[in-house]
Amino acid sequence: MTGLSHNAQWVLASALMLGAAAGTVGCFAYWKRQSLMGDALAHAALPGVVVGYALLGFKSLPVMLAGAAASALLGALAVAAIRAHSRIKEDTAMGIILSVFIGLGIMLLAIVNRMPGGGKSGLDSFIFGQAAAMVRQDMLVMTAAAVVVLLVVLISFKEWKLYLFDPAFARGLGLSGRLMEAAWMTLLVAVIVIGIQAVGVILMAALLIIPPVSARSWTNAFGRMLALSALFGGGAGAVGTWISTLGDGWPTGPFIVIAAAGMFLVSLLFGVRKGLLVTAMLRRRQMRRLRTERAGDVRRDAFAEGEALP
Amino acid sequence: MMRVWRKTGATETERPDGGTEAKDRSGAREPDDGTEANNLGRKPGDGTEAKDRSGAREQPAGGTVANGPHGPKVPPGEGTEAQWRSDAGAPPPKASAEPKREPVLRVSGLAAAYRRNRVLEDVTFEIMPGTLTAVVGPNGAGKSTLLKTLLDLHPRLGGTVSFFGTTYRNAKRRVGYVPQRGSVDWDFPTDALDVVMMGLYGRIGWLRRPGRRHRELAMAALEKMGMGAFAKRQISELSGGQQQRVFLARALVQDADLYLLDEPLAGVDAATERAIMELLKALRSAGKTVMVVHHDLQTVEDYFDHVLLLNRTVVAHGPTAEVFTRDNLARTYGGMLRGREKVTG
Repeated sequence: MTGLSHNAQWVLASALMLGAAAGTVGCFAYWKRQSLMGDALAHAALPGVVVGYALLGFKSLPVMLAGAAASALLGALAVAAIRAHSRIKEDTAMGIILSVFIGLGIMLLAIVNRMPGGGKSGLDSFIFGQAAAMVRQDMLVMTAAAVVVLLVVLISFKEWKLYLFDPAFARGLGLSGRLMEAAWMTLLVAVIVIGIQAVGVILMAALLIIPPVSARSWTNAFGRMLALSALFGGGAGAVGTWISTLGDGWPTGPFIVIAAAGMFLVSLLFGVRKGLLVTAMLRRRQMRRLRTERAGDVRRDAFAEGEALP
Repeated sequence: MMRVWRKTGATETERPDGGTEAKDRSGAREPDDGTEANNLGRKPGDGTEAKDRSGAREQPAGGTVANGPHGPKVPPGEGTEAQWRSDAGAPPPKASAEPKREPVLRVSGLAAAYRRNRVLEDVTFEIMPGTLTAVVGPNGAGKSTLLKTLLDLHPRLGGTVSFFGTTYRNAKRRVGYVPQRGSVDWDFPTDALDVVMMGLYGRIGWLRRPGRRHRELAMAALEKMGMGAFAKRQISELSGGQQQRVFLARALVQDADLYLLDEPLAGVDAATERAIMELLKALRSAGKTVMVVHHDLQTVEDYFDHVLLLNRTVVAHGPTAEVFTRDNLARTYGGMLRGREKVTG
């Protein structure tokens, strides 16, 4: 990494922190069975980004990200409203919101791009992600936000474990379900907002989904799963960003996702807890043992019970 | 001893004809009770004292309820009179030293529904301290919904619920809930000891880390359930009965005064059933109150001293010997038990 410019090092560092934050929050999504919620909310963030730009007429990341947060939350509320007031299930509701908001976002984008100066806005980079498009100060803010997310998770680890495993029991102990739900939504939206510039709204979900499922293959402890997921997310963020800096104008998101997918593949095959290889090996060992036991034991057992031999 | 004490407690509060008399007497005695309970409390080592203390603790909360129409609330003819008479034959030695007994759980006019169906209708009952009550009824009778509604896990359409004379919100710490085993994802990456520790989270305090003392408490509870050897076992690798024991151990460390269990004996083997029932009876002996959703009619009489027959509303409620009759069961199950032999001997 010695050949990297000072700016590129910053990009890498922020991609790493962002990936780590997404990996941890993704674990919560995984055990809440709401992995797709991240996808829906990331897509729902796009109209907010465009509106944030259109309101000011120039590019200001804080304003656009505030817009992203607002429209992602709006999407979350819409999903909740559809689920509560109709017979439509949550996954279907998320499908509706996801496509409607991304459609709305791209439509607004087309309009803004026709405005004077709009063509140079660089808004397209929010769709597939362009980490290099961030200026130093933006990166600082986003890295700090990612660190805050990680700290919050670290401090309230015990509460999350309880809430994710048995929410009804958690409420019985006095842990407010509404509070945890609000905290979960806040963390999710925070991660999405700090991630969309680097990864893009379309692929943001991959960084929330792939690291946790990769981590699951390696451990049977929730804490370790969180840590590993953060590691995988951070690794994918850094590696993907690094590859994308090799070419001029390459989008960052796809490379991050490919890097994450590589880690997933390795985990799926070689993971020590749920990996396919280990599972297959254990099964073969059991079969071998059964075969050797059958030779003697079955005869003996049957004899002892006075049964006829098969 | 325990049993006598409990029964006499019931006679004092439930005696239908002497309701006002009992109230007056206890009303005058209440200040004394507190001191007596305290005196008893200084001599540790006896189960009855623990009970006295818990009774004393309830008094501030139950003070207002004591003035309510307590006597008339218990419907006559439910057998309380018979119980009174049988107890009168053997006068309890400590009758005068007992504090006034308030129900730990008081439910009145409770109603709940799912989308279109009213599941619970005008459910009214009281659970007295130190009882082990089975909630029995056919599928869809609203047994689980009843527990969930009591605990604010399911919206209440109407009616009132009071735990220890106050709302569930205020009494949360004193109420332990063991949900159905299938209500959680057992694939969650954690071990048995960790799940039991969750029962201590309220006491540890939010955002604080559990310490060695908490681990020891959890370990002791696991051992009590015969699960000491499985402390570090992944919960996904436990059998159904073992998972149920882990849930029980988690409830145990909560150290609640009232336990609500949703089908703890469903689908467990004989050994686990025995272990669970021993625990529940031990809890009762320690002065706790236990309410269990139960599905096996064969064991009701052996296991439980009180029965609540439920089918959308309370069909009958009271001591098992009086309430668990063929007639009441037929009313609860709507004649579905026609093929059964006589239930009570």
